[in-house]
Amino acid sequence: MSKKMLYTVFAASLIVAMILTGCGASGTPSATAPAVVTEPATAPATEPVTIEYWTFGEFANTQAMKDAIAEFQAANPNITVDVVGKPDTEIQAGIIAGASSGQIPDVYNIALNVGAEMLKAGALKDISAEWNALPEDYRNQFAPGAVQALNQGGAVYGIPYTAYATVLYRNLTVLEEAGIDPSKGIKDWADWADQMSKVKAAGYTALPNYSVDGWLVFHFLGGVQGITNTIVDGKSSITVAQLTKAYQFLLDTKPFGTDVGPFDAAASDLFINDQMAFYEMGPWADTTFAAAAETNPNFKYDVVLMPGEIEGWSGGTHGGEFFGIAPGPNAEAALKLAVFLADKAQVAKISAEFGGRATYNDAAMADPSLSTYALLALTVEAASMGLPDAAYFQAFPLAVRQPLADNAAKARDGVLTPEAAAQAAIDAVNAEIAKASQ
Amino acid sequence: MNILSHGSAKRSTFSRILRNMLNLEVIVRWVLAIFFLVIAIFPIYWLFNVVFSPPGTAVAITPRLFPTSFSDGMVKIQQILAKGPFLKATMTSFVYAYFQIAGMLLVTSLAAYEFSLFDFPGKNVLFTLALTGMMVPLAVTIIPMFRVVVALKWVNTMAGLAVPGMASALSLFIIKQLMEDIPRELIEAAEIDGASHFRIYWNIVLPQSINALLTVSILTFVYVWGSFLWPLIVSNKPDGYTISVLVASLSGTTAYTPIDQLVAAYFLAAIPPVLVYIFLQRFIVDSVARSGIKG
Amino acid sequence: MKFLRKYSKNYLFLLPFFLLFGVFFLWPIVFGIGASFTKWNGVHTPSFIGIDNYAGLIQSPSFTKGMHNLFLYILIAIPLGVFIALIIALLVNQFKGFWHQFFRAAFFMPFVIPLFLAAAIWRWMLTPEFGIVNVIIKSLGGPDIKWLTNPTAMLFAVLIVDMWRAAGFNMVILLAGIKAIPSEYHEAAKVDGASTIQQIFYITLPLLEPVIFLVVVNAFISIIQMFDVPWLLSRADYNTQGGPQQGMLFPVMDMLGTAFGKQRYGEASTYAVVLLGLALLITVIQFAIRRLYAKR
Repeated sequence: MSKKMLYTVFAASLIVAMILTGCGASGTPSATAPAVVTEPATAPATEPVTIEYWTFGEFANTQAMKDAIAEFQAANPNITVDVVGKPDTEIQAGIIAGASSGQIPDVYNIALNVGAEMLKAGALKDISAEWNALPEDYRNQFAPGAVQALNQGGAVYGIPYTAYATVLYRNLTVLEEAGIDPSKGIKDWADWADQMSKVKAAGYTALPNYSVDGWLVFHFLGGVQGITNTIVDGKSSITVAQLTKAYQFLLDTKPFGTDVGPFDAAASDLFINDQMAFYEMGPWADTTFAAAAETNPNFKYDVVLMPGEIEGWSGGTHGGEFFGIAPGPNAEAALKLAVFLADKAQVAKISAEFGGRATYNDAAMADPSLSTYALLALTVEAASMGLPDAAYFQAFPLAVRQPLADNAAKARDGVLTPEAAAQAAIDAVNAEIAKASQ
Repeated sequence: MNILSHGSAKRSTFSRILRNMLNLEVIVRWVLAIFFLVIAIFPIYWLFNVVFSPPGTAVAITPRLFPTSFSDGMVKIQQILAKGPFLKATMTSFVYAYFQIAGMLLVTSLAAYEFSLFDFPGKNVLFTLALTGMMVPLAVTIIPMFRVVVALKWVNTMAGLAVPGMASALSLFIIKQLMEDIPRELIEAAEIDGASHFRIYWNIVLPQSINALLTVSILTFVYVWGSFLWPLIVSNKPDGYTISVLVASLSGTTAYTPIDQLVAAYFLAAIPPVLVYIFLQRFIVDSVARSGIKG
Repeated sequence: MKFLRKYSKNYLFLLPFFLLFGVFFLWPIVFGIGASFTKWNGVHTPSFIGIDNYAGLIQSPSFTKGMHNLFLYILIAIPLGVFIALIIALLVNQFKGFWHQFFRAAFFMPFVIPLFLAAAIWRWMLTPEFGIVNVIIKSLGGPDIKWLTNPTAMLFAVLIVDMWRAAGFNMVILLAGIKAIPSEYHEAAKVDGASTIQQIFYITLPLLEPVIFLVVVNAFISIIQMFDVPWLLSRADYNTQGGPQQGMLFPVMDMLGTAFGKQRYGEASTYAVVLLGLALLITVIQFAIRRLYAKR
């Protein structure tokens, strides 16, 4: 081909493709962009409508979800559901990016701790009228705490869905090598620190570095006695004294642990290769560990509640996700889907497919098919203590995690005393909250 | 040469080589070169070894100096292939790169043609204006850019992905610099012969600018392949994911992807650019060199 | 009209570029500048608040930290980066034939690896205590450097990954410059008895100056825009950026967090304007210095 021909083909194909893809834009099966501020009349129930549903990637791929969608569409022939699976961070990013141009999904799963942001972005419809119209035994399925979190001064912003709580994984081999009897459990922080020092003395490492992220600091904050919430009356209810205790514990246990953060591949490497004793994280970490235990029978681990400052109080953080409905003409159909998927039958099936993923649907959790999952029972118990991972639907931006982590790092590195660091952190947190509520 | 001197010539060649080998300069040169070579290649080698080893072996804490299990690696690759639309995402990335490069070449070469070989009112002002494009990172303009794309109804389309990046100031600059070297006599002769403006561009200037065009194509390819911020926002359905967004989505902190499969995902994402590079390496490096020196 | 007839073909050819440029670049910049004077969450109508954003930005601790990191990084990365690229270029130049091509290609390779991969792999290698880099350092008697948690070390971690990627690219350009130096100079010097080192210092480097200047200007511009490497290396997301003590925080990252995480687009746009101004300023200064220097 002569050069000239080549260029011509190049340019022509470009033009053709642009025309085609330009046409492709109108062909995407997305809902009409919902108006963000006003609420037009809902479309009549019998007209065909396509709704877009964003959920977690792993959910979208499950058989349970595929069956559920098929069942729903069969029961509602005029509604077509377009399921999009994404990681949870991308759901948040996508909605915020799309909110400014009205490009948000009709129904989506998202974490409670960004509920306020979703509200600010105009992506959440108040469904109180429809919620109150639902039968009482439907509404009673859910954990009261979750329902309360979604109920803000009479307005209802969604339906509770999945939940998580962080737990403590223990490498039994390392514990035994260190002369610790795993069956004795861990009483409190003092006991835990003692066990960690034994682990270190035996030549292993105890714990990853939890000062690298504010969410991780929450895990330890949750272990402080008596702490149950994060914000009261527009200011952080975390006291300097409480945060100091958390920072102090991290500092005290620094010599026994490693600097590797728990999110790094190296941390789970250490745990799986019998070099680290403890690993505190949410239930998703079990996927990796269970897979490793399968291929390596020498790798033995168990899961317990994260110890708290005093006996009988456990630490860790917990949270969950819910169904949010976007305002717009498709809201009615979207809500129908949410009501269907949040119901105990569907929830139990999805939870089972994940080896017992915790949810806010108490009725589903009581389902006998889930009774075999020990991790599930533990997660539910852990969620009743510890600290919620944010102040739901209040001006509690997740940006507060930055100063919490920064000052934890400073305390741990000895740049500041734990108390000075805690003071600086609380001040910064309050500043963020103040800015966010303007 | 008689037979005796021929023999001594051979001997002196051999001793020359021997002397070279013991020459300090040569040794230093090789030591340094190997040192930098290891640093350059090691990370990719590491990834390769991590993928091709039994599942459960540490990724970061033990030196992965050798691959230990070819079959296990293939299993991991198979598993991760099932978890996401890898082939599709790779195709999407290729197509995205293709369109952005094609459009960029057309648009910037036309403009560079004008800037390099002709004079017109406002030339300097316009060129300086275009240069500001080199100084602004994407993140700065990304939100309003997205709003424009939405208004054009280009979300989740290839147009939305590729078109905004076509007016590349850096490419304009590079192509213009090299086009300036084209002898004016050629242009003038063509003009006297009655060639149209376009003809001169198409038949004379473009063929002479191959180096520049190749260079900017490669730079754009590398950039597009690694870009994840823009595709993340514009192409938010898994159908339209580019490979960078797909891999990022599998590696989130709360993702349920076991690390073994994740490294296989990384490996799959690395293969296309490395392969392209290995095959075209001569052209790539040569053209970058030739364009850079003119800049 | 004669004007138009004379220049219309020029403007026509410029049109596609400037049309796209205007729509996808200039308009967003103008929009951003305008937004920087408002309080706006991206959804509701913006409200005009004058220069409050700028005042707030200067007082913001993360702005200070980000700028501090940026300037520190510039101070270290540019000399070091150019130095290393130069060393490698001179080194490769010492080889001939096959090895020359081989090393040139091998050192350029890191540039084509997608950045998100490079960041992930380097993060594994820079793991404290157990990672291969620290294992090697400790075996040579060095300390266990906390690449990912100590703010100073974190900047160096960014430097390592950034230079690993860019050195090959800069090397190729410098190498071309070296090869462009007529060999007569070197031959003459050799005849006069100059060693390799002397040749490098007295011939190669001075003649390479324009190319080095180009590499430096380019480095400045890319560093101000620095985003991908620290973002990926510190595992940033919209809510937290920069890692512990914000050791890897760079201005563009903070800007993104303000826009998408805190949903304060007005403030974020302010950042954009400041960065744009900074880049323009530095470029102007550099060219002015060059012109002064060349006049001497």
